[in-house]
Amino acid sequence: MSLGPVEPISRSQFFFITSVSIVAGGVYIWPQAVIADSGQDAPWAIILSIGMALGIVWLQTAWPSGIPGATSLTRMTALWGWVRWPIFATTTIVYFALDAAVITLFSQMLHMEFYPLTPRWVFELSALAIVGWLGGKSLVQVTRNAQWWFPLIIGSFLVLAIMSLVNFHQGDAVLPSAIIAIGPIFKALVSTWYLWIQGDIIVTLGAHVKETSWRQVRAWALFAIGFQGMVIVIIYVLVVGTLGPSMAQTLEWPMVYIFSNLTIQTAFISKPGLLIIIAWVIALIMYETVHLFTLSLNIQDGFSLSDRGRVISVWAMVSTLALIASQLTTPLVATHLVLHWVDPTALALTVTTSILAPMLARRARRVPKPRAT
Amino acid sequence: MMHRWLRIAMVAILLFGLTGCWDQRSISQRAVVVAVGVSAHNLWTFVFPNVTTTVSSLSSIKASDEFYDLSTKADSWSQARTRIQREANHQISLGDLQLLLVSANLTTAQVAQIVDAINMDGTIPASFWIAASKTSPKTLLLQPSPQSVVPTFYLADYFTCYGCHAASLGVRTWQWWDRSGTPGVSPYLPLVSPGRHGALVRQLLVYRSQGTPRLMPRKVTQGFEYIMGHVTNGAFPVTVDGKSYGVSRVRDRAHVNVMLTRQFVVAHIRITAAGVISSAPIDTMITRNIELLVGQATGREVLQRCLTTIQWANQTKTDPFGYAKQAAWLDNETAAEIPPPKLSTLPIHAFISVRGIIRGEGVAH
Repeated sequence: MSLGPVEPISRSQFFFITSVSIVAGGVYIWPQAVIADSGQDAPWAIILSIGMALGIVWLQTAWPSGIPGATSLTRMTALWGWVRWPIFATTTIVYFALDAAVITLFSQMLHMEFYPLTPRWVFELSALAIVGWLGGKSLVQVTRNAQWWFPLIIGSFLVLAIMSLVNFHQGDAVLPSAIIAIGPIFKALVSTWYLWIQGDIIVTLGAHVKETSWRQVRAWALFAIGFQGMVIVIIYVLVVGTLGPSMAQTLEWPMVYIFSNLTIQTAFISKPGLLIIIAWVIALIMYETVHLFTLSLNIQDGFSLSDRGRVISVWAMVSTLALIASQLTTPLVATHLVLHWVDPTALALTVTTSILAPMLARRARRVPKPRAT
Repeated sequence: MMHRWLRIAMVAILLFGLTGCWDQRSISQRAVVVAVGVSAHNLWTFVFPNVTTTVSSLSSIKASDEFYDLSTKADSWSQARTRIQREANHQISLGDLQLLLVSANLTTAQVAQIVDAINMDGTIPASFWIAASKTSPKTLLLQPSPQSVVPTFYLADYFTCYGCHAASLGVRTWQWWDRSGTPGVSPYLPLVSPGRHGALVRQLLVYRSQGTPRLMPRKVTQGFEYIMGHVTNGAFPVTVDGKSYGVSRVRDRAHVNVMLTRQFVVAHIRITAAGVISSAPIDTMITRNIELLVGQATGREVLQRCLTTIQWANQTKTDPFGYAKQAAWLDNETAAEIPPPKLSTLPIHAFISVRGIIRGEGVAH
């Protein structure tokens, strides 16, 4: 079984690639749904969501040690047998639905806010072309890109976030509600789950971190989740502290709204918010690339494809994404797909598999290995 | 070989696609709108900088020729925009809009409708200023001022000039939109009146949930500036031991703690106003004691203005401070028992303490 383009990566590269696979999904939907579902209980839902994500990642990194396989899919053979196929198929479908929705929201945002005359497919195809091209490269090339771009994305985001503090006048709105309503908090928790579906990425790429143990992979993965948890908390605090919960939930892209309203008089450009558009284009491309790259490695490993076969599988996935995205006609349709289909499916899948996997792994490790005769 | 051609084709597609050519217009093909005015009789005025004005022609051109307008009667923002575009031979570009001036006679619902429509038009960042005018917005917008030099617009610069005026009362359009949609706050707009060579902003219009706005008197507006911590360059006379002192360069900070009951809002407001003694009786040496006494007199003066403002808000059943909103966020249980439109009409029980501080200027006499 060949797995050609995979070379070892460093621990920090693993951190960057895991981080970049989270937040781009967030910026186009976050935090509208969580506020709409739970109002001022949203902080409880966010804390719960980040806490649960950390717990799930802890479990996801508890089972691969001692289980043979180069990717998540082949490792699952020892645990799940034939059940690995429906699990992998559901994961793939969830990734496709989410990635298509995110690229749709991205293109619609550009179309609505900046380029009203340019057709949406131009943005989608341009981005997907780069995703396909980069997704067909080796692990080292993908991770080097993540390592280069991620600090720039986060750097420009933090610069704008600091500038936005000028308009942060409603700190009281950020405080959690005194009334803790379990139903709305749980509903809001479900609506955040599209952020936390990196299990396969962590297991597949964690195995290729050089000179390390799964314990260290876990530590870096938890660090990535914690870091991105901080980013989504910053976004929430900024949006709600600037606009208040009533108006924040009426906006499709609250972060774009807040940044586009920034004005400065002392610099050459008066609208610094434009910086974030550049950052988010890159974030989106890296996000989708990491997803497709990981899926393609699993497909290559699972179906014993050649390197060329993997590249073809990446382009096949890119075409599928373009097809799904063309069917999502409005931002509301894309958001609806994420909130009402991706989120519950992803939550059910990740929680079930993450809890069962360590138990199944323990059993699998006890089974004596066949001796060579 | 095949690979190379594929790569070249992909780069070519990206190069053409990423330029955004469909939206590309050179500056000479655009008519950049710097201000929009809406009268009470639905007359919409779009103000453009005169594109023939160049740096070399600025000295010879009359101030009144630096901007031109296109006006139309329309019932809504989208209708006005369409009609103006129909008349224009350039593409109307609203991304650099600097000011929206609405008639003071428009009702809350009418202003909200205009702002919502512009806000939903994604390509216009809602960071432009919004203000109200008692006189015709068109007249005020086109009033020539030697201070305005294209492409900046006099009235927009007026609000941008932080620290120039006694207080910064400018409201960005996104702020009005935010306040008008949030329960427990009465949105307000600065009222612009024509001056001899420009304009003056000395009063506010406070919008209730329904009907026409209430005009905040000048004294009340001054109190409002202090309560909100908006004073950046205040000045007033105070009397100490029968002698008159001038206090100027006053800046203030305000901090408030609020509490909600079903009948009223309780606000504990702490204000610190700091300034300098800019004039003193001719034979008076400024000592530390005099500084303290003038500081106390400053505090009393500010307190008096603030009390008048709270009284006015209670009389008009408005809450331009947003205290009810803030209190509702802190106490969801009580807020849930009050209908949202009622929140901003609740009486305010205010406890105000003002600390007046005189900063030493280094000159004792």
